Amino acid sequence: MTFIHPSPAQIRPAETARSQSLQATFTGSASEYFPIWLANILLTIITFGLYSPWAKVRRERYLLGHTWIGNSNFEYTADPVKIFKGRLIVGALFIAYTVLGNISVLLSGVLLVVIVLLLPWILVSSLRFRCRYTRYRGIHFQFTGSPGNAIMPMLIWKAIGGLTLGLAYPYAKFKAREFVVNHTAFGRTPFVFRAVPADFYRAYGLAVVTSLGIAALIALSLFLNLNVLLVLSVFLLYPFILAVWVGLRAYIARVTWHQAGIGEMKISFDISWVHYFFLVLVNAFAIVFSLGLATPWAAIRTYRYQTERLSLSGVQDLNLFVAATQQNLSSFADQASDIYDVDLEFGF
Amino acid sequence: MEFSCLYFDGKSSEGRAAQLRIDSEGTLTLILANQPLVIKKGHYSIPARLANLPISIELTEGGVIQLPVSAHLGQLLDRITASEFGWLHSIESSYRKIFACVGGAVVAIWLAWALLIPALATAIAPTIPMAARVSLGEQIIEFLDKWVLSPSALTDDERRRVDVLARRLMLAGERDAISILTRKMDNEGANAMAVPPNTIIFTDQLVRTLSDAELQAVAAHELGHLDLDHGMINLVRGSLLTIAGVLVLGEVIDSDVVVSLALGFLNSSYSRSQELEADEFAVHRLVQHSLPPEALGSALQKIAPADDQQRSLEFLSSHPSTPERIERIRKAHESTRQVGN
Repeated sequence: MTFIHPSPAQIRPAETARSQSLQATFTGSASEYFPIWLANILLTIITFGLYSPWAKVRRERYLLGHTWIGNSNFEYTADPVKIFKGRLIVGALFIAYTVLGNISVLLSGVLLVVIVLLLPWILVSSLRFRCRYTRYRGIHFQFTGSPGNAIMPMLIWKAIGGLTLGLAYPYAKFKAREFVVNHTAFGRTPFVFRAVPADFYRAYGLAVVTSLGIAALIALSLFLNLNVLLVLSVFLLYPFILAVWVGLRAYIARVTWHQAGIGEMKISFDISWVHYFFLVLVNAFAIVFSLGLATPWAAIRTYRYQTERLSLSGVQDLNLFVAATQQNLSSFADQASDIYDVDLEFGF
Repeated sequence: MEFSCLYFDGKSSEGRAAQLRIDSEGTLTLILANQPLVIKKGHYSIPARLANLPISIELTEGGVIQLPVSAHLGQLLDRITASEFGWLHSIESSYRKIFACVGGAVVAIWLAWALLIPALATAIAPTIPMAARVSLGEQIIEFLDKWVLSPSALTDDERRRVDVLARRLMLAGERDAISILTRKMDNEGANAMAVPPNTIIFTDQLVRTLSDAELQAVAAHELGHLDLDHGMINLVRGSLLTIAGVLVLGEVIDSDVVVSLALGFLNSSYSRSQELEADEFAVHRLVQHSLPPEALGSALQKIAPADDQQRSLEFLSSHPSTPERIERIRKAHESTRQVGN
């Protein structure tokens, strides 16, 4: 038998240096991802969508697997069968709601209330699922929040945000992000949220002021009967709405993660909303003009940009993280929520 | 064969350099600090290969062995693990294979749309119980009366004329079951519609515009829709199409608007073929009653708005263009005449 010793270029034990900075890198490529993306779509189509959990796992495995920090890559380890079961439950609820809606308004109302009451549980389950099946250097992330913890930030504050005509909305968003970050942990090492409400007010304030600006521009051109200005502002309306929307998302993601920490380490997520906006704009054009074929290219670009803006400082030794205790992982609530994976948006 | 690898015990993030020996039976030997650890098949799992990502061997007792992928390792793993998704990796690694699959999928979708969904709809529609049909029909008429139609302004004589003319065409069983209604329609003017299970609605404008023969031809056409159960078939097919569309397109296209537009477009091309079927039914029914089938063509011409754009929008329309229908009616008539002779 021949003994082959390939030099593992990418996998090495972490250097045990003193405190250092580590930059996240992304090694995926559009040409490699394209067939994976296409196979996912095809199999999803010919199985009438039943394949989509498997497609999701392959997509996530590819994207996370090509994300590296300090010579180790991330891994997505979810079992598609569990995702499939979760979607069956969601599907059954949806069908029940539709059918009940045709039979009795009262019953469907009751079901809607039940779904709303279940919302904290659904949210937490989804976060838990995502964390639990993300692995780095043999250790899984975990989400430590409970549905009870989620009620205030995810339901009550959201409702207050709405009731105050949006005035408290940035604060509600702040509470939601605080909840998510502070209950995320790498093994036993918790993430620390360091953003302040003012960051969120600044983000939404900026979005509101710029929106009012373009509205004023349109109003002014109508008032003064300036057709050129009107055409121009209407023409620019879509890119503008995109800019506000995308910019806001990027800004919120930045304030959420930029100052955050993991144990003693500091996270830097130095994403620029201007860069991100142009990235999304180019993606949109590329996707439209390629009739969708540029979608994987766009996904890889976006993912690469986000990854390469991420770095860790104050890293002592990547060998020293400890996994969550076994007991922690097998509580009943965890088992129940294990199958529950819904894609909800929590920012990048 | 032996490979350099990194071993994580799953309890800490410490990665230890190790050697991994893999024999042809699939038994792994992990050599960690000169201590061999034998892991038999069944005590580890290897996720399906994906692109050129490092391979992680997950040990059932906990721990992960990670090693960079290489051609040798790839071949070895393909041999020892009968992976369910090996074929997928092979497709994903070749542009030629993936494009061949695209061609296959296009054919499959076309077959589903052209054959499978209509066949399923035709098979399922007759199973809808009469009670459901009646209640559905009542709801449709209620909806139409509320939003589209207003009470008829025809005189009793005019109303009786439609009723008598239409009933003259019907077979004995139909005469008792089918009800004829007249309504006023604000925008579209002259029109007639078949509401399942057994109602035909004529608009005032139609009744006043058409001659006796033409009115009977239109009645025969609508009778065709009822007799051929088009309403129920549409209902079932629409549901099937929506389910399939949401499952398939919803996964690919991230926009509800695009999905529903696409579905509407697909559905409209089905309904055009139903118009032609109903025309054909009408021709036969008229000939049976020794009535002139040409009346259907002239009725269509009277109703159709003189619109030149109709042809260019034909693909989006729920009705075929009038000249096309008249041409088909003429042909159908000729063929019946030949059979009759």
